[in-house]
Amino acid sequence: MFNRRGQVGEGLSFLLKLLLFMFITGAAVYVFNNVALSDIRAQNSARNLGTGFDSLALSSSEITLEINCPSGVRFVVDGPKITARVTSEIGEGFASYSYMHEQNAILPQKKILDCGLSNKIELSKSYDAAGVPTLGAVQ
Amino acid sequence: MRSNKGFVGELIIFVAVAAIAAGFVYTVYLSGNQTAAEVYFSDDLRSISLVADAVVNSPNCLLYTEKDLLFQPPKISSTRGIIDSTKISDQKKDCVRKGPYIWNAKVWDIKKGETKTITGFDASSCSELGSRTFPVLIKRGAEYNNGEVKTSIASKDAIASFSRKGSEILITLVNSGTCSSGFAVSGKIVNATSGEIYSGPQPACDFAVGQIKSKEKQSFSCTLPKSIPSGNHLKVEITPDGISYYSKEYRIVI
Repeated sequence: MFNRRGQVGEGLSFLLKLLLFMFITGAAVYVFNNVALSDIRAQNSARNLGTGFDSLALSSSEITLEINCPSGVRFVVDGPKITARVTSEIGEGFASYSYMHEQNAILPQKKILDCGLSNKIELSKSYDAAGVPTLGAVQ
Repeated sequence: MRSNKGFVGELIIFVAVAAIAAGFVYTVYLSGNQTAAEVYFSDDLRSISLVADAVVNSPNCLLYTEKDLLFQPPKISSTRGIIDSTKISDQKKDCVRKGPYIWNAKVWDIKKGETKTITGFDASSCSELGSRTFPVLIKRGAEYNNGEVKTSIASKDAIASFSRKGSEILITLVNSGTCSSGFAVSGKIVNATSGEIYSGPQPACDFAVGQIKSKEKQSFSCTLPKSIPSGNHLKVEITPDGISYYSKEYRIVI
């Protein structure tokens, strides 16, 4: 005999499972986007700024480079280390990068570079009369 | 009364949905982990090339440079690939610094048949992370000899993991570099936002960790003081012996 009530029940049950599956999937994607991707974004941003500093060490002349400062990223340049923080809805993406520099180079003092204020960072290398290189980073 | 057939059917659907969902979450986890591992791997590869290039082609290392007095202040001029024979000495072993990487260089003057080395690390306690070879011209007074520079890179680094039991923090340090090394560990409570050191009592988290072989680990613990106000983190810095300019930093929510 045709049981319509049973069919509706089974249909509803299937729909609930589908919703549960979509919820779990959505949650996984959300967590991945907010936790893993913000870390990856922080890593990429720190590396991007760091490679700019890296290339300064290979230059024998005074040089100025302009580096992109991606929105939502906050850099702290402290001596030979750059840290990048990316805020997300869950937690915060964090990465650090140690850039290459000459042993005798005068490195930037601790400085915060907030990409919310400007989307460009200017890196510079200059030499004093004794040939000692000084590195700088300004927005 | 419910039929057995219906119940088994529902159970199969539930198991299938749960398996697909678990599989998806696991895939996301794997892909996240793999991405992080690839980032570290490509950073290592890039750093080997970069440091090796800088040893040969940076003015503070082997590169031959001249002051061009036509400019005021005088400019430094140089040509990539031309190195100064007077700079080939162990005094240059620290001429460029990049994170945990250290290097040895072997300069071969083909014309003179002479080899000179710069020793930045002891090959008996470090294995090579990678090496690069560059053809160069070696400037000896007015002479330019054909030569070759082989730069070998090693690293001194560590990865830490943390677990907490009450007020005790267990720190496990894995030597992720290619050298046997000791490490200095420093733990301070800092403001999570400003990074300023907390003015109250600090944990006894400063250790001089003895030699750890590459890929081996060592664990130790430290005790947090009681009642630390919220908004503070435990900042742990790990510095490998011999490279005081580099430290790896962790922030732990307490």
